[in-house]
This record gives sequence, C-alpha cells and structure tokens, in this order.
Amino acid sequence: MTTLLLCAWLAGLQPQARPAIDVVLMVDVSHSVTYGAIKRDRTLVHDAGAALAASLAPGDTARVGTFGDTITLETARLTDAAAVRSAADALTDKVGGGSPLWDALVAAVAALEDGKARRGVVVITDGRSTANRTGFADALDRLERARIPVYVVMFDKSDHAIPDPGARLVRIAKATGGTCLFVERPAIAGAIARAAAALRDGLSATAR
Amino acid sequence: MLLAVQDRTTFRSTSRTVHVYATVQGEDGRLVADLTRDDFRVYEDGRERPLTVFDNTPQAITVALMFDMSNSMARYLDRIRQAGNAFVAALGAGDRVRIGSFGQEVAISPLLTGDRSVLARILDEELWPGGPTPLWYATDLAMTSLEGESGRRVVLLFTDGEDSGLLVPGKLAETRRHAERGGFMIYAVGVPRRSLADELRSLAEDSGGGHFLVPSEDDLASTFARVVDELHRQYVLGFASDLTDGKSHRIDVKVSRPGAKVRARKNFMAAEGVIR
Repeated sequence: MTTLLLCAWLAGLQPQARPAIDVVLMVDVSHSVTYGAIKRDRTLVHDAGAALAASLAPGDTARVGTFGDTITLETARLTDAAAVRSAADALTDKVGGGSPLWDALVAAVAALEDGKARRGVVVITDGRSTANRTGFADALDRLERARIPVYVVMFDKSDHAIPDPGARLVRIAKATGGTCLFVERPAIAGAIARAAAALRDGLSATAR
Repeated sequence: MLLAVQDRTTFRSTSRTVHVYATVQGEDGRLVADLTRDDFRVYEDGRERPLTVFDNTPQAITVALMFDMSNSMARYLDRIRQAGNAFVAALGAGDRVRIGSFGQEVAISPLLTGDRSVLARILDEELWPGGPTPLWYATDLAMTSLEGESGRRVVLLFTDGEDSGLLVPGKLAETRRHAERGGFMIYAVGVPRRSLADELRSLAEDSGGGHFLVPSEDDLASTFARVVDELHRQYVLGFASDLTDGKSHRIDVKVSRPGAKVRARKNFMAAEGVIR
C-alpha cells in the first residue's frame, strides 16, 4: 500500500505533458481594418503572426491566413515559430477589400478537419462581415458541427455607432467552445497568446 | 405588380452591333411601353443608322445595388434596408442582383442572384455604417463585378454625397470611361430632400440611366421599386457600326411620339482595329 502511494506521489511530480495544438490564425485584412484615414495598417498580420509564433510549443502546428479581397490560407502545417512568422510576413501586402468573415471561418475549420492535435481557430477582426458566400446562420451551424473552437480577438477601429459587431462573434465563440476577447489594437498580441493558451488548456470563456 | 419577364436575352458579342437601352416617358412622366420599331430613330455621330435590334418585351436585369454606408448615412440604416428589400421584392424572374456597400470599406457580394432570401440575408447582415464616401471607386468596382455578364448591366447607387476619396483614390474620369466602354447604365437615388452631386447626375444621364430625388423617407422604398419597373420597361435597340477607331462616339435616340422623352446612353466606344 505504501509503495502504491509512493508511486502515485512520484507520478504527480512528473511534469505534465502539454497537449499539442493545431491552430489556424485568420487575420482580417479588409479595408475597414487595414486602411486608416491617414495610412494603411500593414503591420497587423506581422504582429499577429509573431504573437502566435511566440505561443507555440514543440509539437504544435500552425497556419496563418488572411481574408479581405480574397481568402488566403496555405494548406501545409507549419511546425516552427520562424516558419509561422515568415508565413505571416508573406501575407502583409494582401490588404484591402471586403470582410468575408464567415467564409474565412468556414474555410479555417475545413482546413483543420483532418487534424489530430487539439484544434482551434483564432480570428482577428473588427467584426464587420461583408461579401460572404455563407450567411451567418449557415456558418454558425457548420462551425458548431465541426466541434472546433473558435477564439475571437476583436477590435473595432470605428468611433461611430454601428450595429453590435460582436454579438454574432460571441455566439460563434460560445457555440464552438471558444472565447471572445474584445481588445484595443495594442493588446492584440497578448490576446492571441491568451487564445492559444486557452486552446491548449481547453478553456472556454468570453470576456469583454 | 409582378411583370412577366422573358428569360435573359443573350446577344452574341459582335463588335459591330451597338446596343442601346432606352427609357421613354410621356409628358406626365409615366413610362411609355407601347412604342414600335418605327417610332425610334438612332443616330451615330449625327448619321441615322437603321435599327438592327428592337425588343420591347420586359427584359431580365443584372444589377449591382450599391449602398453608401458613409458616416452620414448611419441614420438611414433601417430605411436603407427597407428600400433594399423593396427593390428585391420588385424583381422579376430571371433578374439578378449583387449587393455592395461603400464607406469604411468597399465590399461587393460575390453572389449575383435572384434568390430573395439570399438578398434579404445580405441586406440584414452586410451593411455597416461608417467611414468616408469612395463613390467613384465603388462605382468602378461595381461595374467590374458585372464585367463578365451579358446583356444590360446596371449599377444602382444609393448615396447622399460626393466622392471623398479618403480611403482609396477613385477618379470620376476613369469611372466615366469605364461606364462608356462597357455600356453600363448608372442609376442614382439620393437621400430625402437632398439633391445628388452634379457629377453623379451627369454620369447617370450620359450612361442612359437615371437619377431620382426622394421627397421623404417614406418614399425610399417606392423609389427603388420604381427603378426596377423602369428597367423592366426599357426598349432594347441596336444598330450596326462600322467604326473601328477605338474612340468615343455620340449616340442620339429620338422617338416620334409627340411629347415623349427618351433617355439612352449618349456615347459608345467604337471597336478598335479590324472587325471580323
């Protein structure tokens, strides 16, 4: 009996293996996000990619995509941080156009269908959704059925009253088991790190 | 009223035939839809040309419906949705619409469809107020979105202002050339009690489209429905042109009915090089 208790105690001292994650980061590069009145914000994809890269652990896989005029998402999973940063930097010129947010989420989830690790989507957006082939209700249904959590990092550059751009994203996060964080632009990197940690830990929460 | 609309008329693209869509109104402003081929005269640079195409049956329409979502339009959001839904409700069989908006971003739906539920969904989900008024850029993109379509191609703009070009540079001259080269018809509807910019009215008139003043917010929906009705009742005319200089040429359309006024595009771009 004593031996058994000792073995159990020793097992508890062993470092817990961190579950690997398989994540797709989708960054909104539409006009409403990347074009300011004075100059274009071309650093968003770089910053987001770097934040994701810094959050990766050995065994993790990641991909970076953007949505605006087109939805861009490479099929190959990246296994090291440098490759993730490089993939993000390669997308920095793809800015402008509409915001096919629902199409982008559906595409991201589809890309993760064959994954074996803990899968999740992290999306950076101002919440405006335009130029979608897929409507919200259809997208919500498909995302929910995929059982892949969507972690939303949302910021709104607009200083004008608009219909709540976050309401639908909160619904998606809740329905898929993800989280929805509302942040200012400088806090996006930290929010991505939190999202990656939440995916690794299997946490689900929505905070404003 | 739901018009019985013919299936889409496909014109074989011979560069010799210049198509002209004509709207005819009587002295009372009502649409005149009972004219015959013999009532029309078409002139190319002042020379009368025989009509080789004439059709006065309701034609299916292909429209890019563009909403100005700039800051100043935020207060009209509900009305805009109502007007958009009135437009959609007035569509006939075979009509197809692509919905877009311009303001914080220029966004045009990839869906060109006559499916009312899809169009209603887009009106409900994809209109976001805020930002400047990139009017010419948006008009240009709307035309580009219809580039691959055959037949009559229409851009309908609902806007309250003049181009501000803050986000993306767009030039009226380029938009005008694009409309002329592609034979696009431009329609513009202004917000209640406010006249449209002179440049926009001029662009609409030259393209053979039209512009509408809206007396009150309550008239928005009926104005959009009226545009659909007008588009359905246009005459399709065509004449053979042997011009090959790639330049802009004048078109004049006249009707013989006393008191009737005709609106049609005023210019076309001749083919360039040898026509085979």
